[in-house]
Amino acid sequence: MFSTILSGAMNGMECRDVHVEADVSMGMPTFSMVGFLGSEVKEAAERVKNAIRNTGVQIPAKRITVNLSPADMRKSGTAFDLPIAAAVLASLGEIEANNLQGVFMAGELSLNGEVNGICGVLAMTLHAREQGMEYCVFPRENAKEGAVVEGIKVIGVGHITEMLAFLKQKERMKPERIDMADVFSQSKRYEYDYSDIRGQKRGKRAMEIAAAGRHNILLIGPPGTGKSMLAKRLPDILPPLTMEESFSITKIHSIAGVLPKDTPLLATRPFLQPHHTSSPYALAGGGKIPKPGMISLAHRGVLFLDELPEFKRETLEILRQPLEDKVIHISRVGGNYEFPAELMVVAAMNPCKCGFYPDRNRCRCTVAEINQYQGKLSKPLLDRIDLYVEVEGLGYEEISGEGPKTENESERMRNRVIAAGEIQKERYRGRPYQFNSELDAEGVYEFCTLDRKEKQLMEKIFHKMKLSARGYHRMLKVARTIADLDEEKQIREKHLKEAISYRRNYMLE
Amino acid sequence: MEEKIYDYWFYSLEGLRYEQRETLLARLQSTKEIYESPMERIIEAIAPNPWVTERIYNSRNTFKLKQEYENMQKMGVRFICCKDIEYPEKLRNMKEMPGGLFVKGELPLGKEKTVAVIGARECSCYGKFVAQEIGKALAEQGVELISGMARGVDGYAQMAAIEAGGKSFGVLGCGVDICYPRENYNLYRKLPENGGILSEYRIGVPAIGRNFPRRNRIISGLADVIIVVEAKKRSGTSITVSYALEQGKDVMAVPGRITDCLSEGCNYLISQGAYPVNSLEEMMEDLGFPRKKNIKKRKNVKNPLESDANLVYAVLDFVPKTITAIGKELGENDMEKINRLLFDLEIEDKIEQVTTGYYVRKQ
Repeated sequence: MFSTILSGAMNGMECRDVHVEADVSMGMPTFSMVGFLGSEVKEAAERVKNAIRNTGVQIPAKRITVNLSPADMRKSGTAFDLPIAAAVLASLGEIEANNLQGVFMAGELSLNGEVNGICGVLAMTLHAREQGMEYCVFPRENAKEGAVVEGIKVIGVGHITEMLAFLKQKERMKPERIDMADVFSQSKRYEYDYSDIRGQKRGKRAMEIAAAGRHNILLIGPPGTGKSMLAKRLPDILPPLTMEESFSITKIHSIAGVLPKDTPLLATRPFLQPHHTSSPYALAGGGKIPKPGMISLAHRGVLFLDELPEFKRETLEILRQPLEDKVIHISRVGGNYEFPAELMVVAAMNPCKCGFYPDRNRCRCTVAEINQYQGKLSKPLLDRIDLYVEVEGLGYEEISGEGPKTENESERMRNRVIAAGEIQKERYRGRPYQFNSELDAEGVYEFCTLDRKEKQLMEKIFHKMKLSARGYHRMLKVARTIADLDEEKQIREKHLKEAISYRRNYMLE
Repeated sequence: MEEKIYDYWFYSLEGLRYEQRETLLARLQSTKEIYESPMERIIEAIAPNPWVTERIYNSRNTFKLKQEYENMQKMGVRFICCKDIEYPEKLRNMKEMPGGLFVKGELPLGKEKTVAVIGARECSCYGKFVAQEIGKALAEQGVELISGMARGVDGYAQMAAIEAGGKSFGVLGCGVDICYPRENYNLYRKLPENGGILSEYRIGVPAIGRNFPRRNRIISGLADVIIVVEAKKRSGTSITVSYALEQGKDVMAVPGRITDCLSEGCNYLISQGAYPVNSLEEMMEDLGFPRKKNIKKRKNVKNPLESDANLVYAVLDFVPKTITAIGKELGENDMEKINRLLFDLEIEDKIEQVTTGYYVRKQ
């Protein structure tokens, strides 16, 4: 008897239909599987046979054939175990074949019939809803993840018998329920606060500007001055995630298989800190069918590159295209994949190898060594960084905690960032820009206009600082953000003067 | 072969010591004679020293020598040996006097006063500023400035002297056709037109570390007075100073703060009896240039800046400081204001940003 059930395979960011078909017929007693299968899918035969036997169902000495269609797409992963079992059980007459209709299923089986977790549940659920399915059956540990999608019933099963029971009598099992608002507010936690950092006023201010205009930023300072602390708190001063953003982030993390077990929905912005030995594939996303890399995992969040000059050149070059296009394209034999990559980059570096330049009493690096160290960075990457700020060691007063302590600094910063974001949204309505950092040359001419006095000042700056066209635009964009933080329509002198203090030095030029 | 080429061969022989050179000349009369006489006579003249005799033997290649000499002339490099009238008087009778000099441009004629300005390669902003000021002041008085064209103090002083219209001479530790260090290429190009570049090493000799201490004796030899701008306690500068003392030259040193390790050498020299450079005017007086009215008094020029900017300016010095540090010193919490003032000062060319976020005074 023939039966079929719908399952799905993740292919980059999208989920594709896979129909799991089973047929039981007379012939040699074999269990054969076809349909362009990866070796882990072929192994499903043993898992499914044992799991079914362990539920007490006798597999008759008949010829069982399983096909995963479309047969021209290579399948991988262990998520097909459960649908294969369901299709086989239906073919054996254990379940009414009609009951498989309208059900989307994915899950991995153990030999004793237990159902184990899989990756990409959120994306699959969204896909199943699109396909007009009524039910989704997932492993219990992932079911909550799917339950955030409205308009489809998600059933969590912990054992193959539960799946069997559900398919026999659908009404008996209660779909997973999740209080979205509750989950969202619960997982929305701010772990760190900028008031944890004493002093570093300038560093904090620079982070605020960066957050407001979504500018990429480079922190330069000796070791142990709090560069990482400044970076770590950045996601918290960005505006809170909307439900939509939260969905897209969760989807990526779920596909990559890095979603924490107890968090069905990510409600805080991701903060990723790849080690400087990371390969280009770790950042971009690797594998035959690529999984999202660090760049995509940091989507709508922050990618922190500590010790920037220590990164391999090829690794950093990977960043150039996604920073420009907000998506990352990956080409493989099997096709081209696209992952979202709308992220902010925070980079940190020492000013020289020993880290103490320009304190000549401590730094023993030669000028050539310093030039070599700073010159190592790729210029095209630096061109995508708008803010450069020095981070200085703290005085005793700050270290000992005797200085003035502020409370809830992050919250105040966040409020200003949100306000500046609203201004930008209003201004760029109907335009291809969202934030000041995205302005191209044309956008700069249109939106960063200057009055006569400011124009004169900018001309002076241009000649004095020997700015390039890029540097000029960078400065105006940052000034625009500072003006937005001030809630001013026009860029004023003081905004330009502040913007200029975050320019990059001649060694990086 | 011309007489000149024999001289060129003999006086630029590598590894031949001064005494050996003199003995050979005394025994065999002329360089031509030495070139042509059999090896037995040479070995007889100087104690058998396989390394040197092998050199002499191997380098006696008329064709190659002629070619080398022609090439050198094409490059605009002259070879001045100690027999020539042009050879600087000051180097004659010097211990281990170089047999000859390769020159691009001219040699110090000995008419004007010569001063060597030397110091650390990795100098501070203070060292850079003082070197430039001294270079300028010397040039304005027509003093010829001798230095090593090195990175840091040497280069800054020489460049400032040239820019002020003075003459400067760079003594290299490599062939004069090689620009070392590379970052001083601009200076290297300008020196032959505003003085000269000289070296005791042949064309094409690369910059090898061990050659540099030796060339320092030429720097101190050519100068009447040596001014040390900034030096650590143990450094190449101290080698030059010890040569200078051996040669009986006066040494002056620019005092610095006791906490700066780059001033340790200078302060030590002063404690050992070097003249301190207390001000440019005093320095020029010590060098024999009476105080003139037209030497600009830099210190007393009133800053036409607003008073707040003056405060910020007063906090800055030659040690780079961050905006935060400046704010702390002023007790000012308004970063935006300090930012603004720093910016105004920078536009006025009063201060300079040395690296991201670090500022120093410029004048």
